[in-house]
Amino acid sequence: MTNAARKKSGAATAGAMTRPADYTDYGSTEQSSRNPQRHQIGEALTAVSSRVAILGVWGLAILIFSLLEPSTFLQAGTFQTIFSSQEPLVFISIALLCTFMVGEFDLSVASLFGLSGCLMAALAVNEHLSVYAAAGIAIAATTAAGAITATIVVVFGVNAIVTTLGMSTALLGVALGVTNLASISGISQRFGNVANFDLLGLPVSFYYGLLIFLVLLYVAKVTPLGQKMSFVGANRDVANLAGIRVNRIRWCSYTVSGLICGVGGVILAASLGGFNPTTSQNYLLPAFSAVFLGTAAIEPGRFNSIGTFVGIYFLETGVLGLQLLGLTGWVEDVFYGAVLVVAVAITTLLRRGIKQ
Amino acid sequence: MTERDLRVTDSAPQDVTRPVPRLAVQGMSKTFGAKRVLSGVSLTVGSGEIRGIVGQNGSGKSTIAKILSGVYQPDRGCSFVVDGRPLAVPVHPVALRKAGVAVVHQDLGLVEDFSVLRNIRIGASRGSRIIRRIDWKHEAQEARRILDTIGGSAISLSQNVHELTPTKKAKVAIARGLEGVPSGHGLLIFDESTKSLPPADLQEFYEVVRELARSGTGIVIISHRLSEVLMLADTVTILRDGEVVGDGLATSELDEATIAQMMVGREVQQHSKGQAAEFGPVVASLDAVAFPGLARPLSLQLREGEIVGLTGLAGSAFEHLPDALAGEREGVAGKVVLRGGRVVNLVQTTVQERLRHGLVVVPEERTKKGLALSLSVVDNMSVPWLDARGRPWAVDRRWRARYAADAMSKFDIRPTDIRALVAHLSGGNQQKVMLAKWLAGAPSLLVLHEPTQAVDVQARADILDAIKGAAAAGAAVLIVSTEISDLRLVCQRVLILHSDASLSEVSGEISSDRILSMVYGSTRSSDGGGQLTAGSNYPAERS
Repeated sequence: MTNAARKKSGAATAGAMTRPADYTDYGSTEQSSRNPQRHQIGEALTAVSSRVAILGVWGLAILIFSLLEPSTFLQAGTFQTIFSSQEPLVFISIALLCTFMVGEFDLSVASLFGLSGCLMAALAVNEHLSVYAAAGIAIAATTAAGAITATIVVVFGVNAIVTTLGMSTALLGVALGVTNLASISGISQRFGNVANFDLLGLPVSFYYGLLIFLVLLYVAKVTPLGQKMSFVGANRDVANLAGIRVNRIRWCSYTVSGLICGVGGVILAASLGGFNPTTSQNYLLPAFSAVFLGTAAIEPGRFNSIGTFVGIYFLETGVLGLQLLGLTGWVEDVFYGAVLVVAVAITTLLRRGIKQ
Repeated sequence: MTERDLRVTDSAPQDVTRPVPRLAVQGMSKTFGAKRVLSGVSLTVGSGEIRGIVGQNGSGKSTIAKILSGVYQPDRGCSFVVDGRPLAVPVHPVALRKAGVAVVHQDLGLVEDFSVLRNIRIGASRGSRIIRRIDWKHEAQEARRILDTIGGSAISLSQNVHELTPTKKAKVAIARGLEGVPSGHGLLIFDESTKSLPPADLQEFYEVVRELARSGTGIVIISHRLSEVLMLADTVTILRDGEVVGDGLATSELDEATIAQMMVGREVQQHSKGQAAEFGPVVASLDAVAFPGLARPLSLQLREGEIVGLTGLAGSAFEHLPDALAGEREGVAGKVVLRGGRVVNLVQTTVQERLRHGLVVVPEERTKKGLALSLSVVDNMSVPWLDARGRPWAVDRRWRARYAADAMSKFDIRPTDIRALVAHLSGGNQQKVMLAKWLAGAPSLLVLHEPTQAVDVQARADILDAIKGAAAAGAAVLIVSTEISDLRLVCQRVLILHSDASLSEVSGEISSDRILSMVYGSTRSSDGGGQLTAGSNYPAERS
């Protein structure tokens, strides 16, 4: 036996070496399927269908509601309601998306949004500041709050879920304090036009949402920053070794999240002419639902802005349709909650597909 | 003796010489969707036998390990017999453990923050009848007994696993695999377990494995290192594309070239080393580079087009040099002077600055630090160069698509879709993507850390070719590796770092022997192989 061992170790990797002339593919086993052509078509179909599945489900929901309630659902007013009423959800979802895309987590978005609206209303109505000064202060305050969260999470390395949960409750308290626990109204009608001005049948605030989505889409898809963000989200070590300033991007994601929530809160306060401090928390869960639902579309398994945009209006279509069927009050909670669970399940399964 | 021990001994054969194989699997297949990764594999391992399993990436080695540990279920029609007793398919991991089958994974699967005792008895500790209190004294006795049988007497049960040396960790992992198995029974599967061990400790590890086999335990070794399998195993199973092409061949009849040929399915040609006689000017000098663990500052100079290998023993900290140059270590001092007098001061520098000056470090762990698996090939290849190539408002899409497509054909990366997710590529192809990613910057100094780690025979040849290509394009290349055979093949000179931080150099006719004798001093026997190990004390009685 000993000589065998000798002989072998002497042979030392005579193997390894240059590619033989009749090289065929054995680096990947993927190509060796029995019926490649059929397999490819099937794969392509699956890929396309999973990308647009959510649009199909949306269309199906519209169809079902149209058949069930042709008199009330299938009217221009319904769609006007769907598209005009979602300004808060749009802004909060985008803020959430900013952090999710880089692998972070933010539970404080709804409270930031509420704080901004409350500050705007309280400063403009109770303190008689000019609306523009009030708006500026509100946005600055939420941006600063976002930066504080960012510093605690990124610089001190504290767990993001716990930090943002704490920040969420604390900021909600501040918002209640600012408004003395009461809803405030009386912001000037003129300033309301900033949000309510009618453009092609929809309030201008819808277009703000659309614009900010397009900006995020552009950043994510076209710019180096978007590429860097997806690497920070996918693998921080890899991103760091590629020369990406990982912590700077993470810090900015929380701060920008605060900024977007601030702007969104100001716009809602302007459109309502005031603000009710207790309402903002209701947006947190739908925003999560929309963002996770978005991972089921366009870029399966990944947080993406188009998917989120579609997700928001899918959610609203569902809720409105169910309300028109006579299910009111409780049905929103059931629907949003169930969609969130289903959406997270879909995300997890799609991710497993990627990692496999 | 615990309840479980009794149960096992009841029906297990008492006489280890009886011809009941430890493991007899017939017709083991595994299909994922339309993809069959394993078809009709049979594996019989006798008592006291050491069986090697070799094959290229994607040949089904790791699938076998996963089936034997119960992670995957084999397709229908598989018969699974351990110690003469059939196990019902689907095979539950608990049933496998009870039958005495255990897998020691490549990362050993230990909980670093827990004590040795808890790691060994994980899943085995039993509570007392009513109050479910764990009898730690009994637990400790059991763990001690197992550790002592495998030469782990020096390991304290109360130590935390992260305080142990790699070899001791491996022993703890083995002890856990043997837990509940009467001495001389059981089947241990080592799935690339030596990957985490420093070269100097391998000999001791091999001895433990041999000792286990002598006591009657069946051993399966799944490994990329052919020399290791040849040295350690009695018999070998060779896989190609999920099928067995050589079943239970006696290793005494084989050599590496034959096995490699069977793995690939055709003759593999000898690698030719380009003997670049003349090199350009010095384009990279490490100037007094120091970091904790290195005995004294290190300086060396590399010329344009030159490929230099760096190796050494574990204590010399040579393996930390790439991290130090990449800015991944604390307390690094010194500087690197690159082409055109550009200076990278290692004390205070950023990754961007390094890349801009042409200092590129290709890290070791491709899945952790090298590539983002969930993103596409083109994204991964372009990410370090986004700022250099694009504008702040737009990525240069045309450049990156062209670069990725060129690189994929140049390095023969399959599948050829630049939008394919890196996770869907085989290990060798991933390694090539990682290399292509770093070569896009036309570096002055390219530092590679274990560039052929865990890749198959063909990918290794491709990667070594790519490295030579990078040197020919004007880079100075420094390969930091323990794979002497790689260094021997592509390097014009090999440096050996000793524990006192002095350097020896082998150049001209580079052989494994010469490198090994430098690494270990002059006491090496002359039959040293392609690894930092040699089969000198192979037990003659095990025939």
